Amino acid sequence: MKKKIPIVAGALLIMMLSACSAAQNVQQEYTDMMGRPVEAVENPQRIISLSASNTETLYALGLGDKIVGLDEYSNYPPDTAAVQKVGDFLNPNIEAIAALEPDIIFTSNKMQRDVIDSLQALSLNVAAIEATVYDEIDDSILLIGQLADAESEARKLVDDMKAEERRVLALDRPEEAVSCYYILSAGESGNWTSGPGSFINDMMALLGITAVTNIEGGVPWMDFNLEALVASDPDVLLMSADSGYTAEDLKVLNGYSDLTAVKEGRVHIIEPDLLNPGPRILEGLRAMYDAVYGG
Amino acid sequence: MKKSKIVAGYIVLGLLILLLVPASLLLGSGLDIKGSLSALSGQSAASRIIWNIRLPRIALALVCGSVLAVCGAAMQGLFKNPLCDPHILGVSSGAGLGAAVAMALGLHGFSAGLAPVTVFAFGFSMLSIFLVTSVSRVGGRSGDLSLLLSGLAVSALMTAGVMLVMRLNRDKMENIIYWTMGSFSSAGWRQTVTCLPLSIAGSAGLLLHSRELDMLSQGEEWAASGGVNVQRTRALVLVSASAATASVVSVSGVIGFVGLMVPHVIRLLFGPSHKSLMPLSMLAGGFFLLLMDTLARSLAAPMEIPVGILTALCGAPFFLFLLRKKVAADYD
Repeated sequence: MKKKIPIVAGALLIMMLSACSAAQNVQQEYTDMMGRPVEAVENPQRIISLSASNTETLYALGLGDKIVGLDEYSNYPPDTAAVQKVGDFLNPNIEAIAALEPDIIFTSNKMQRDVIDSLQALSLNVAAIEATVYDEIDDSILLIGQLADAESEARKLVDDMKAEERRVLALDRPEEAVSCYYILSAGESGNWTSGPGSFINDMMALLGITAVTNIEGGVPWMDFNLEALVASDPDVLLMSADSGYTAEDLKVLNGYSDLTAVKEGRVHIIEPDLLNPGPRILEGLRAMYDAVYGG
Repeated sequence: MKKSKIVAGYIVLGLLILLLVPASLLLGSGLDIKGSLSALSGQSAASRIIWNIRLPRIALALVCGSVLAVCGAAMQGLFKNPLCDPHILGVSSGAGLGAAVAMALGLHGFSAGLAPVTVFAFGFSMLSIFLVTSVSRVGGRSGDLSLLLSGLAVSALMTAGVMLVMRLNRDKMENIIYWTMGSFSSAGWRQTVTCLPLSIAGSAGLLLHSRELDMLSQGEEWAASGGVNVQRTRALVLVSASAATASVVSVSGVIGFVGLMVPHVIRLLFGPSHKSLMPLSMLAGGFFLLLMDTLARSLAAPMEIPVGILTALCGAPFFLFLLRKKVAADYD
């Protein structure tokens, strides 16, 4: 009997220890933003990103040196210039991606549906992550952190972003509400603007700005009727730097030339990359604040 | 076709347009009907909406619709082919390439009152038609088939060019696609005035050749024996139709369906004689496109529906209905 106790205790100890290491070997299963099961990777060495916002997040989490492939639109931070490009957003080169032998590939959401299917067919580890509304951005960053073994960095980043958001939202605002319209395109390319549910309108709402395009039945991106724009006569115009127009150009463009904001020079250019659903969204928020409320 | 029926056609179409224009003038996202009525006079901001945005848009839709329809009728008559439309000889795909190039180069501003996109679109469409006719010309004349085939090939080349421009300038891709689909959403007096001279000249050129087109439709030898200078007629009809089509496509993009279907509807209702077919097509085309554009800016206001979608959605069922009636009537 006396001999059995150490044997039993030893057996129990061995069982407990193996149970612990078995638990460590089980990969945590997560779900990406398209509901697909994804495996988290411990200490990933080879990451590919096919979406600019995910790229920015990965660099912000300190994983930049692990990135081996990017899509052509991922151009921030400047370090991305040195990384191999594997094609554009809609048609990346699947073979090139597979040849890089990535541990994990971060893609956009249903916009890259075909891409995701192709990669999955090759049994590659694919995570579809892209925030479609402002409130999803934090979750998308946390998910990337969890999948790429950078959870604590992700939490810190999200906390920093929340703090910056609080700072921006606490800044002074005028008493009267300011109305605003965002010009994505004008003239022969149509009058495209942001609508309800878009990042831009969400951010305007946060800043207490009245978006003139928040109409019932509106969609996040709309070809807006020129008459309706002129009738709404917004106080301020925000214009994408990619629209191809300058504030001076608007003064001779039919319809826009009738807007008070154009006549009085209240047209502000905003860099559309700051509106990517990633870590720089707070810079976009600050830029929006400065444009609309600034001096 | 009985003359009285044709006269009735003129009256009805004329009335329809006369009714539609004021109705369209009062409908819109910026002002409700009462507001529109009071805005007709005066200098208020609402008046500027009516006079600078709504009215030129109405005028442009009328002009484009009538030009596309009469050019379609002429093409169908000239080639004796019911599948022809104003876009077949590469005019519109050339315009698309011109617009794409102008947008890729980021050209803006107006010189001599013309927008760069318009100028490039027109220039490339003229280049396109020149290519089509040169390739198919042998001994100073171009046969029907070779013109059509040449048009097909040049159109394909131009379209490939557009796709290449889009591929090399991905940030402009959506702008280019949007322009190609055709729209009146940014219409102003500038566009209307720009396309008017060639639209009038081209349409007049076509209308003046109604008799010749009727005779040509019976066969070239028959027409020649009847005193028609076949080569000259073909050349003038092609030049007129190309110039007019190019001028409207350069300001509003490529709007399909109108040029193809409206002449057939008129033929089904009023017979094939070009003397009535072409003017009636102009009236019907103008009415139809104005109606579609009014819907395009009102149905989902203040969002715009691409007018090309509506022309196909509304036009095709109506045409099928008419066709069915005729097929059934012929059978009896």
